[in-house]
This record gives sequence, structure tokens and C-alpha cells, in this order.
Amino acid sequence: MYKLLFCLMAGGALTASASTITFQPTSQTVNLGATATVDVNLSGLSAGQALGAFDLLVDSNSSIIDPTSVTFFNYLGNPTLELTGSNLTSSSVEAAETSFETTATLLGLQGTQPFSLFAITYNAIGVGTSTLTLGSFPEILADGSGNKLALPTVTAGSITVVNGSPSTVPEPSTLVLMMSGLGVLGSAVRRRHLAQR
Amino acid sequence: MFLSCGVIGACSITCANAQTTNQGTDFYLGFSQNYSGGPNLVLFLTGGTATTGTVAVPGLAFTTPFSVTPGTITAVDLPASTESQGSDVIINNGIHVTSMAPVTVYGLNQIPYTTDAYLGLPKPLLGTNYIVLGYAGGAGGPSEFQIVGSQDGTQVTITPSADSTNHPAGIPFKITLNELQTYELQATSDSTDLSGTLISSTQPIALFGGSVCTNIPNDNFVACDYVVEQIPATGSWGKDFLTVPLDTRRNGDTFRVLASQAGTTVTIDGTVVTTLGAAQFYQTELSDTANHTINTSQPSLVAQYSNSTTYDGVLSDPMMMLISPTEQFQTSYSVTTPASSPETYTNYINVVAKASDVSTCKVDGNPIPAFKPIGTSGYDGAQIPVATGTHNLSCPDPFGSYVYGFASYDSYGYPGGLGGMGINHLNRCDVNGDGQVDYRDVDVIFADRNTPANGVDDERDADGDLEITVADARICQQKCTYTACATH
Repeated sequence: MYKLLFCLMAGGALTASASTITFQPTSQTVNLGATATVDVNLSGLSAGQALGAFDLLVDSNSSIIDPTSVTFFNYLGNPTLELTGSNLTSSSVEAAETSFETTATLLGLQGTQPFSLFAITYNAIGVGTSTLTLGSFPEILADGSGNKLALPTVTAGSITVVNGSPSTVPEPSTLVLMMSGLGVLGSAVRRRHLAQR
Repeated sequence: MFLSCGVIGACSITCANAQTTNQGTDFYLGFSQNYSGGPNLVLFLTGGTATTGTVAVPGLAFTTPFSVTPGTITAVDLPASTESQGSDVIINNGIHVTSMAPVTVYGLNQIPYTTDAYLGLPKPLLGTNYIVLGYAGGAGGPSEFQIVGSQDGTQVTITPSADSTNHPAGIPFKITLNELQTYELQATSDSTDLSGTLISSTQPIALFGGSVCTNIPNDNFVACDYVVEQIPATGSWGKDFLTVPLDTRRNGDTFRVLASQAGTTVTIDGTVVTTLGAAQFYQTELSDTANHTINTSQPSLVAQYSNSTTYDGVLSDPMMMLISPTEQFQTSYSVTTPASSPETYTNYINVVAKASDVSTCKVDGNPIPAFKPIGTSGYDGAQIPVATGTHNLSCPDPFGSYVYGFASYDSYGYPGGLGGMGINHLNRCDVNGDGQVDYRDVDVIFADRNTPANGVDDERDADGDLEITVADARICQQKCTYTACATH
């Protein structure tokens, strides 16, 4: 408990954030036993500022949804060539990425905000509503030079699991991504290792 | 490791903005040898939140609980046998301080006419690369240093800068320390100095540098006195230092600047005075009529020494006090003087604060008078006479504080606080030590993310914040020797 309090105290000492983390869709409803996928998006980087690395923890209610996979997007480079990693528990997902791209390349990739950092797919295992929000640790955004950015503000999302027909379904764009086979779970991708540098 | 965390509060990992000051919950400390006579060994503990903890010397079967109330100081007396005696000896007398919430620890080794104190550094601020700073021996005993192990099986390599017991100058030798074992080494001649001794270790260790009983600036002045400070690892040394003369002294104070890297230029009050090699130090006397600036081109360690009484005929004697680099200033301090028994000291606190803050800085809730400029640094310095007991200092912006006192042929001194933030981190990232930074180094850092740095000089801790994170991986990616972090 002390460590948690200390973490919260330390986090509270940081300066106000300019960036924002949102969940897309912000809310969705799925049938019990179905899957739901949510994108974690970033906006609010200042002009000329690129995101070079991130490490975020997304908390959820383990009695309602169970995380099964994490998918990384291309806004920090091709995720098969960057360093990515994820760790899943029943109530949280850590997703981390460090880009090998130059800051100039990152600025080009991240030209339009918000952009998606990663998507999480959950199994709906219990009736109810699970809030999706960021945990306090790890919570790291770093710019192209590796300088840590101020902690982002967070707009929480939610997933509601029902026994009947869902009122909404995952967005088509997310479904396409789910089927694209980019999912990576629990391991760091070895960029360029296979390229025999 | 991360998978074991069901909820945040259950994680065993550290958090963002890890502790980077001398406040901590886990300390490995020791007391090096003082002049002959049964020492009064005391740990002073204070903290910003009420907490409890334990002081233990397992090798002596000594343990005692303590509690800390904010704004007050708790004193814990230790057995006299906690002090190391002898040279080239390994003893089971290391001190382990643990607490539920962060505390500040000061150590006092007091024998009438020969006393000094040090600021304790918590385990996260320990490192694996050190250079000893102490002083030459004097009429009463030799130059010395003491190492305290924090983990079993720690291999320590020592290259003494002067002939010492069983070990000639310049010849490296190895010892192995277990947790809370101490190793003390003393010079074989009272006229030589172990400052500049190189120490590296496989796991973080604590180092205490000083002298059993030294005359300062040299043996032409009496009397001798024990001097000691806990020495920070080179990874947390700084470049910019601001000094205020010791109150009441009439001929100024002795200063040493110890360089971590070759080609370090030393600038005092705007004038370059020397260029040092790695592990070399520059010693000078700085006047008592003005405050002074000391700047170095590479990370260095600076200490202020009280001269022997006959240097100026003032009530005093030698002590050693590290000067905090400005990068490591803090916004508040709780400090204490020794008790008034067995000796009564006249006590002082020197404060270095931004010139724009001097009207709002407080000592025990009262304004601090008589600030004077420190060159053109934008900082002012003040000397504050204080009564025996606890004192609380605060300023709006980070500032430096130094506590010291004088008695008949005696003195003590220590910095109010030191940050451990890895300042000396610009050349890191070669994690595997192969002479280049490449994807293999970055991979290791990324895989080790969200773990504490292994001391203040961890190659993985590229930003020096004592945590391994994805930001360190990104910094090192930027430092890759070849394009695309390739190997050649």
C-alpha cells in the first residue's frame, strides 16, 4: 500500500499534461462470450514534437472483461521492426513500444492527431460495465529524443457486457485490424534482428 | 516480473519519479575508525511523514525500532563496537536502516575533541563505481576509507592511491563482501592520502571516506580531528557548486575538487585554476570574505574542510563536508545538531538559495537574514547561527544547506541533503560493454523496463532517473554507434 501511495504522490508532482489519451470507441456494448476491441489513442502533442516511446497500463474490471491480445499500430514505425512488448493480467494490460525511427520519420507518421498507439482485445466474461482507464504505473510517454513528456490527461472508456443483443459492435476499422494478424502478445519484437545488421 | 502484478498496489516494482534524493527507506551504513577512545555513535533520523523503522547491526546482534515524527529528529545510539577498527579488515558491523516511509539519516561519530558527521545515502543511490575523497593522515592517525556491502557475494576491486596496509599504491586488488560486511583500509603513512583511490564493484556498495585524525590544511596546524563523509558514486557527481565560508573562521576554508574524468577543468570564481586527470584532486584555500563559485567541465566531487584551530585561532577543528551540486538542491530540509553533551557546540547552517527567493526562505518558520551574493551565479548565501536541536528549512525553489558546528578543538559538518539523480550519465548505453551502442544494448534496456536502476551509474539508466524505462531505450537508440543501431 505504501508503494502505491508513494507512486501516486510522485505522479501528482508532475506538471500539467498537454497530451490526452482516449479510448475508441469510448463506449461499446457486447454480448457475453463475444469479444470487444478498443483502440488507445493519443492526441495533443505540440507542433514539432514526436512520440518516440510509450509504456502505458490500461486497467479494467476482471469480472467483466478479460484481455486476450494487444495490437500495435504503425505510428511509431512498422511494429514488426520496432521494440514492442505487452504484459497481460486479468485486470490490466501493459503495452510498451520504443521506436527505432528518426524523429523526422516519426513526425511524418504522426502528422494527424489523434493517432492510435495500440488496440486491446477483450473477451466478455461477465455482465456489467468495465471502465477502461490508465493505471498510474507505468505511465510513460517519451519524445523523439527520449525525454519524458508530462503525464497525459485521460478520458476513460468503457465496455458493457450484456446477455442480450448488443446495441453497438466494434467498429469496422478495428475489426479489420483484428483480422490483419498483427497481434503480438507478451514478447518484444526484434526489429532488425532478423535483418542481419 | 510484471505479470505477477494483479493490481498496481500489489506490484513489487518501483514507480515513476523514483526517489532521487537522500531520503529513503533502506540504508547500508557504517562508522569508520575515529581517534582512540570510546566513540559516541549516533544515527539521527527525520522525515516528512510519520513513520517507523528499525536500525540493525546484525553482526553485533543489535536491533532497535524507531519512530519518526515530522519536524523532529529521532536519535538512535549504536554500540561503540559498530565502529570499524584496523586496516585491511572485513568485519560484520554494517548498519541496516529500514523504514516504512522515506527518512533522512545522519551519522555522528563523536569522541571529545575529534568528531564528524555524515549524510547517509539510501540504497537506490549507491553505485558500483567510486573514487575516494578523504584527507591525508595527521598527527593522530592515517587517511582511510570504509566500504559497506549491500548484497552477498559482491566483488570489489580497489586500486589504492597510496601505500596502504598490505596493498601498495597503484596495484589493484580484490575483496569479496557479503551484505552488511564492512571493509576498512588505511594508509600506512600518516602523511599520505587515500583520496583518488579507485573502487569498482559487481553490486552497489556504500563508501565512507575520511581520516582517523587529520590536521588541516597540514600538520603545521593543530589539532587533528576525525573527518568523514559518505561518498556518492561517480554517477551522481555534478559540475556546478556554490560555497559559503564557515562562520567565524578568519582565514577561510580548505576545499578539494575531485575529478571523475581526465581533462576536467576547474573554474573558481570565474577563473580556470587547473585541469585535472581522472581521480586527481585540486586543493585550495578560499577566503572567508566572500562566497565562491566552483564549476567543473566534467562531473566532480567538492568538499569543504574546516581548518585546524591554530590556522586562525578560532574555536574549531577539522571536519569534512560535501558540497551539493546545484542540480541536487532540494526545497526543504530537516537537520539537527548533536546533543549538547558530552560537548557543547556552537552550531551553524549555511544556506545557498536563489537570489529571488531569499526573502521567502525560512529557517524554523523565520526569515533568513544576511544573504550575500555568490558571484554572478544568481544565488545568494547566508550563515545562520542556530541553537542545539532540530531545524527545518524551506525555500520556494531548490536550495542547498550545510550544517556544522564548533567546540573546543572539535567540529562536525555535513550537507543537509544530496540528490542522487544521475547527472553523470551522458556516456551511458553500452550495456554489454563491447565498446559500441547497438540494438543489443537497446533490447536489454527495453526488456528490463520498469525496474530500478542498479545504482546511480547503471549503463541502462540513460536519463539518470534511477529507473529503467522505455525512455532510456529511446535515448540509447539515438546514441547508436552505427546507422539503424546495427553492429559491425
